[in-house]
Amino acid sequence: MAAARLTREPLELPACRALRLQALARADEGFLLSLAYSTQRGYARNHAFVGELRIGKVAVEMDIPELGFAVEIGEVTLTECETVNQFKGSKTAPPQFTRGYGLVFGQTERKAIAMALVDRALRWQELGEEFTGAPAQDAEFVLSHADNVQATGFLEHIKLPHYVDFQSELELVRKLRAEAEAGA
Amino acid sequence: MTDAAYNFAYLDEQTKRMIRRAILKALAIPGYQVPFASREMPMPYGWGTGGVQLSAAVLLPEDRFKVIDQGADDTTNAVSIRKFFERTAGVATTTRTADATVIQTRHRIPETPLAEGQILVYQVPIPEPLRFLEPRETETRRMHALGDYGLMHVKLYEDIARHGHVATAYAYPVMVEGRYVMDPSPIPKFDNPKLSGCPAIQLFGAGREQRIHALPPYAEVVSLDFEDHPFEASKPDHPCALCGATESYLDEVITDDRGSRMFVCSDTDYCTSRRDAALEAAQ
Repeated sequence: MAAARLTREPLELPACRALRLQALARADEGFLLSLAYSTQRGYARNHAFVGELRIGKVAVEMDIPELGFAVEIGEVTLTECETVNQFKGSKTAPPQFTRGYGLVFGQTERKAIAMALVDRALRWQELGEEFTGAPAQDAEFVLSHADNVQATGFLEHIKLPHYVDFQSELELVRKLRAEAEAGA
Repeated sequence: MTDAAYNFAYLDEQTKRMIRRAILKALAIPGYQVPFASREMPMPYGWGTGGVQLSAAVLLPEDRFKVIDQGADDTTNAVSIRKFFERTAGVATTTRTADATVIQTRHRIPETPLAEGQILVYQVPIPEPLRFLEPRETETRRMHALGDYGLMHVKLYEDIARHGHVATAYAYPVMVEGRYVMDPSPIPKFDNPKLSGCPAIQLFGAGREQRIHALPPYAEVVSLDFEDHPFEASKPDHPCALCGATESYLDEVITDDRGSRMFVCSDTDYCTSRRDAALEAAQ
């Protein structure tokens, strides 16, 4: 299977881990922070040790389909975090640590750690854990609401005029109220 | 004049091809929501990014483009989108429904009947008619696949039991060609009958939700109802205060701080044309 690409193909659910990580890397920091914090407080707890936390620069290549080759257009700073989380084991496999992964734009250790904790929580199925109903385990909920450009746009579209839909609802409420009063 | 820095209609050709493939699939399966790789556009999500991508994919240099928001050509969203394509595609624009070849709309169907050869592009916030009954996409896709619409019928029934009427006044769900339940976007239910048997191509684009659905010309579209509670397209029970129309959808405009109000056509082109015609006849 070719590598999943979140920005070039529509997100299909359930999503593989590669897609989930792409979505988390683009996710709103505050949203990830709260979800990660909720796992620390017991909603799908997966206590983490920081195995790796580093900051570095990487080259950015842009693939240009019209030209048929990639061009290096600059470099960006990234922060990467790998966590070592509590262990799993079974009758057949001895106990072993599990891991979460975070890779984010810029020098933002807080977001990288948060992403690693959320990634770990989302891996419950693959690691044979139970779904406890915790928000951080719910991949569809997390992935559908993590993008703050989408969230901001949709929230702020409320500023656009809505008088046509409002008028239709106003007519309906008036009708229901008139009938309720006539019946009372 | 086209801004030379942009490819025609802003999007690159590969992206337009991808969107056209999704449009063809959507036309082949009326009412089915086709996932597409929605691009980030230079405008916020929720402000018509889906509609703009559809318009970009279907526009040709010889097209005449019209944009309305709430029925009006002079609302901020409509003005911005019209300017966007004037700049990036250099297409001619118009406010006349009959003169337009492509019409992008937010939440209204024009009053003037559409004709063959026209394309109506809807901006769609939430394309999934079952979303507020079942928030999970994985579930709703399964329900569509199985034609399992019991949940929707129960919702409509409960509305009638509780209120005496279906408590939905806009984005009223429809059945397309007897197969898929579809959200017609938040048009007032007054507009629902215009969806069916329409000679124009109707395309629905949801950018944030990455979905396209469509109605080919003359598709059969039925608003969901019950035999003993038939669907009723409603509007304010007044004539338009400006043009006197009795068959058009009306906005209620508050005119002072003592509760005075007037009802006027929400379709500005329709209202203006009628007033111009009346003026001409009077001369």
